Amino acid sequence: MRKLARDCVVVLAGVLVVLVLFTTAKFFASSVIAPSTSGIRGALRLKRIDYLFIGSSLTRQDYDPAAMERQTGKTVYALAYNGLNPEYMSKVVAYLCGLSDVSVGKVIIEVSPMSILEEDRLYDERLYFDAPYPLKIDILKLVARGSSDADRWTSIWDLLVTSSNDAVLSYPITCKFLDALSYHGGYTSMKYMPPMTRKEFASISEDGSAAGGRAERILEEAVLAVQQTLVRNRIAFTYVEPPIPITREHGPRFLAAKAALKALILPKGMTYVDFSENEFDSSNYEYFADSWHMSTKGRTVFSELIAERISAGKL
Amino acid sequence: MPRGGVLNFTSPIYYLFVLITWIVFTFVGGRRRWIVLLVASYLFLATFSQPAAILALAAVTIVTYGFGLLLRSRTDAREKRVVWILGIAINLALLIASKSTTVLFGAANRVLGIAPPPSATSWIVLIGLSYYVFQAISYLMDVYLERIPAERHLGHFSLYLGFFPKLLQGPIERAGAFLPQLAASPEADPTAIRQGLKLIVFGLFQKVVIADRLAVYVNTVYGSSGNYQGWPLIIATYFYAMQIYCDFSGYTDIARGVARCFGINLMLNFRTPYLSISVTDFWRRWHISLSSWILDYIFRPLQLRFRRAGKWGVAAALLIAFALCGLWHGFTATFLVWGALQGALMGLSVLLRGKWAALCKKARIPVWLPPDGLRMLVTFHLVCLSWVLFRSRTIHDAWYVITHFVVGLSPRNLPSAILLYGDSSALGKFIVTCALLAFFAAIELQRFRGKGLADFARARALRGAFWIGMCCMVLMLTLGSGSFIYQKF
Repeated sequence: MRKLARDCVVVLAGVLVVLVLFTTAKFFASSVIAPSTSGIRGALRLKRIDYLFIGSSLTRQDYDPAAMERQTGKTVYALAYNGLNPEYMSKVVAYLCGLSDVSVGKVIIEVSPMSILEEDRLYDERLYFDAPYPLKIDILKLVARGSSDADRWTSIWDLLVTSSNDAVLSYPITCKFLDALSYHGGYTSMKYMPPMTRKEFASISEDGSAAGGRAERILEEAVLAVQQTLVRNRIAFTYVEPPIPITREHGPRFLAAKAALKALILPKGMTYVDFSENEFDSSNYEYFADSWHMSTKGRTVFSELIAERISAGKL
Repeated sequence: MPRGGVLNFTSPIYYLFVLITWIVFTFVGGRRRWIVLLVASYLFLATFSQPAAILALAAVTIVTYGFGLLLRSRTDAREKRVVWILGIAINLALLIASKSTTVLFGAANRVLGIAPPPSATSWIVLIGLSYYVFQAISYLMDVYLERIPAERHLGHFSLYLGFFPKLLQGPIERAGAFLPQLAASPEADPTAIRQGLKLIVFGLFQKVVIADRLAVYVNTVYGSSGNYQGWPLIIATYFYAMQIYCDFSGYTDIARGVARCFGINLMLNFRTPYLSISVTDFWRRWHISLSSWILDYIFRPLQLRFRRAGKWGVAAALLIAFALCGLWHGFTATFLVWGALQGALMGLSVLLRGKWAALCKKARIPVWLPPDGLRMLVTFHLVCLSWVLFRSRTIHDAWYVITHFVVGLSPRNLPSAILLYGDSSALGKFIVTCALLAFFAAIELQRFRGKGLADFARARALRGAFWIGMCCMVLMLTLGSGSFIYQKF
């Protein structure tokens, strides 16, 4: 039995050493091997960004930076992480504004009632992976704050130990592919998003699983934090709500959340552009790839609209 | 379907539970150890918050135990037969009621739009029922056929049906192998514990590192299979074949490992099934505890009944036995056709047996058989095709998948199929998954040759490194988390 105990201790010690070494290396060096045409690293490489679109997967999928650049002659970058909510956005914005070698002309902040409906948590582990060391600390603090006591250690463990290991292990093979997949944070032609069928579009309804128990105070604080950081750094900004399928947008819970979101932003005198209300035909099923995101066709049409607004000085 | 209580096999709390049970087990004297295991088993079941499951297990235990003793006490063959049929009928009635009510509720929901209240479902879908009812039936059969004596010790018998490592998904143990181990007072010696720990780590590797990450892709594609054609369907089908194997084999290894730590040997449930040279061979290696049960208690009696029909009788017995095996998984058309297909393929091989040799003889050429490697490849693909039925929700979905495998199969479409694994991290996930599958295939080949997992390394340090690597992969390479597939059966 003693020999067995000794062997178990040796294996456990070995596991611990590997875990600590790998996790530490990932903590300090993952931002160096992050994709260079999307996410934070891509933004840092540009130095000068005229229009920085920041938001969730809607921002990645609904905007075409290459098309907008062609139409406007400005540098456009889509900084997108899945489900990026105001809490995490405020940290990213604060980090970018704190850098002296990155200059941002205007920030277009994606607002979506989703951010009210969904839980306050980190949805995209790539944000942690891409984040340079000081931002990583802020993200970890937010994760620890947002999780309940029972989930706190699990969430931190997941982030530190299990997240993005596939990306690290496959880096030598995938780095070039990942860079080719994006241009200034948006998809290149390599990623084609097919449209939905008419039947699928008609079957979209409100997502009953979305949690509504979000603390308004925290959300308000985060929205204010983003605004204050940008004002302090004298960076202009506008809120834009990208269109989603009309079948989903007309749901009562979604409309209520939208009203709450507008009440949160509009009284502070901010510009709020709601594309789902006009200009864009969100009843056209061919413009959407799924119940939230645009198809390649929808993205082209929407990006043209945005570019026209930029050219006309309306955004 | 109850997904699992706090004591899921992949949760750390389960292993804390096992550790505490093991400590108490070690400190208790040999003759009373069954009490520790029985209490732990019922506590384990209680964590699923399903009182009906506890009642059902207790009821099946008492009824089967009683009928076992009755069978033992009867000398008149006719009386004995009546007792035997009654005992089996009660067990089967419970199983059929549980399975069919779920289907009826589903149909009512679809047709009338009436969803059963969740509390009703928790009373009907009983945890582990399919497994311990099959054990109970096999026990009554064996006692009736006088293969084993009826068990007198109610505690030992209760543990035979309810032993917690095998309660949720088997293996479907035979009383003749399990009960003597309890009678001899199980002893956890260092060798058994070492073997048990290795089995647990390897089981976790199969489940959380391989099966769960494959499930991410499979669920995406099979969740709306009508949206895909070509590569995604092919990749998802291969992935599902590996997912279901690693999921179930992983569970079984964990169950066997935990049992081994308590000095109890559970039967082997898988023997490198994807390296089978025929469908018949596959069923000798896949879910062995179920397939041997089907053969012993359904196929053989049927074969005996149809003996006058010769080979056709054997084929018919196989067809019926495996159709019933399909229905054991669920009362749906997909499972029925899946089971019947397995039986038909085996029946076909029985009918054709000897014909090929005769044909070669007639042509005056030596009997030629394809090399084993080729036969393995063909068998693997036949099995993969049958998994399409198993995974699809309806026959229509399965037919769509099968008929769209080769549609749009151009190399240009491969990248978009890979990207279905998620977002920009999809390629990384895909590459690591393929590397892990290659590693697992190497292990399977090693096991096929009758060698242990770490036998490739002669040096002790290298073997130690292998297990350190395994533990690290379990902790670091998880992707998604899902319940065990066979838990719902």
